[in-house]
Amino acid sequence: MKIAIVQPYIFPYIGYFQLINEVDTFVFYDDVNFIKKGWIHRNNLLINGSKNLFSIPLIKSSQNKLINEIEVAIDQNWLSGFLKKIELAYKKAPNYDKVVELIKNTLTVEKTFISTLAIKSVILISEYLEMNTEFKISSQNFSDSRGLEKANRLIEITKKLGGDTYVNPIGGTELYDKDYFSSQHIKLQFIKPQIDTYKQFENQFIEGLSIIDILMFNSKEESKKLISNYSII
Amino acid sequence: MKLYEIISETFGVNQSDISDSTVFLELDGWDSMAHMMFITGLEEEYSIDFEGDDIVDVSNVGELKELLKKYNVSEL
Repeated sequence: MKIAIVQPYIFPYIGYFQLINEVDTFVFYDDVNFIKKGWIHRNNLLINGSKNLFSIPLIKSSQNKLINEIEVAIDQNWLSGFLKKIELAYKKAPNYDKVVELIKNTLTVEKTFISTLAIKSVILISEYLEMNTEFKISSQNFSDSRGLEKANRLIEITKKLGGDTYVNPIGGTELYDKDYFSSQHIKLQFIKPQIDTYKQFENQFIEGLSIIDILMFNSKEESKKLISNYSII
Repeated sequence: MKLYEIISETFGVNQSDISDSTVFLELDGWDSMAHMMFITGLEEEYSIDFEGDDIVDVSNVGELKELLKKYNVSEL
């Protein structure tokens, strides 16, 4: 049984969903430090043929707080403005109507935390794509392991879930050692995405955008195919 | 330099603060998912496909530049 444990990201890029696709249980790592210059609260869209960053407004974000301690500052003005931006950017995309509903469903919230919002965005899209992966939240299900050193916590959570394999994004090879994991009876694997191009508008293909872009231009079946293309190291 | 632009965009670091000794893991905006985005961004930008064993050993900008040369990337 394969497990992944990753910080929650809002409408993340395709590699995030490829990792979800590979594992049996995906744990949202929400009780670790917020990364102010990271991708928890922001991502890129295609606007006028270029990569354009959007960012969820936050209240007093800090790297000294946990992800699940940072409130979002979404009000009706911001939401209307963001949906207008999406409409102007994507209204001619083939799947605009379905995808804008997903976005609205995610972002229509009362007061909440960025972890909750990001998790909601990932789960709603995973459900839309009919992915079978089970989801857990580290603060809710594994809070007793919080004091453990990084690798040991991942191993502890994996074992608690009955997993025998932990899958990390390929960027984590500096942190985690296969031999150490093996000594703890857990197989460590890394996922390396293969990013296929797809038709956007008449622009030169812009890669690395939010899953929103993929869903706007690809049917559910096409999106599933894109998500299934990766290798395991 | 395009490479520094990609590093800056992915990890939220100023281009002027990047050098060969910059260690990716130590950047404020680093986590392993962001690093994965970085790798796929490099592959797209330079039209290459890293072998898994090659890219896993790269820990800083200098090592990455050497690896890109190995993949015949001449203009960084």
